[in-house]
Amino acid sequence: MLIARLYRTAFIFHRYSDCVGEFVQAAEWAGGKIIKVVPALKSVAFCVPELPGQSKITKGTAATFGAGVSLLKVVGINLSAQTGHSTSAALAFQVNGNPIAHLGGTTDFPGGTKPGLIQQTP
Amino acid sequence: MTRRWHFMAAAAVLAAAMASCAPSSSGPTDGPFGNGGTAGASCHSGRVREVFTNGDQFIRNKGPQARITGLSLADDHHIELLGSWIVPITGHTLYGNWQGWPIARPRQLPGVHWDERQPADGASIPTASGLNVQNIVLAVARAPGNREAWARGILVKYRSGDHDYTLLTATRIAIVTQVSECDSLLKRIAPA
Repeated sequence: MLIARLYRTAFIFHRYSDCVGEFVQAAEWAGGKIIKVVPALKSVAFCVPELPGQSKITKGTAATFGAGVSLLKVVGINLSAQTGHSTSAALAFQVNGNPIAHLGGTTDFPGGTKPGLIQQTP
Repeated sequence: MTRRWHFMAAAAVLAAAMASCAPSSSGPTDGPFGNGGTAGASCHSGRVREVFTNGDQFIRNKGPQARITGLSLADDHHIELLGSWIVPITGHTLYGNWQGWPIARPRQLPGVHWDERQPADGASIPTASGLNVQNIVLAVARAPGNREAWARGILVKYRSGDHDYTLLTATRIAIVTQVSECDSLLKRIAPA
């Protein structure tokens, strides 16, 4: 006798905002008795447009996200191998092909005295 | 004894010369415009004389209304400063970095009041209120005959109250022929 089992993973989504607008992203997953909380991506409020084409920008602090969640489409760089966020790492990225990209800070403009976490949005 | 006196006199002359050309002429860096912010860099690739707009630096004036008495690129090498403006910002977006000369972009950049810009030299900088800041917008280009052009920041001299101050922004500006050259250049011009 063939028994079919259906496994379902429930994701919990959070609403964030970035330089382009609001978006929804999986922030937690709940499966069985385990609830995995992924460090939340913070909303970005202070934005600097960066020219399309070949550029390289470095600023103070890089925002990262939890393991297993690819943010490649969200922030333009794959940070999925890292967990949490760093307060000392420099974020360096290349803006390639996007009509316009933004570098955003959570508490001030990137380059300000205390910009908070900085991330790129396509 | 005579040799020692000569040495002391020479040292005094040297000290006086250094004092006369550095701090007193540029003013202290701890004024109401702050200390230049977080270190960083923007590096673009472009042709000789290709114009780039650099607009990722800003002023948040925590003192009374001030006036900019001079703006230049700091420790600049082969980079041409073609124009500089101060643009009021009332939103959450700076003018940013673009190819070409700065132009009005009201639909793309709400809260960036390009139509209210002032030439940087002589610009009046109001006291910051709320989130409002003043954006430093530059037009820069790589000079002919050089593969690399850079500056270690923007040097803003200003007067607030009865005092002269200097703001040196902490973001380096670089223009190269290919973006692959950015890494090595930015390492070479990184702060010590």
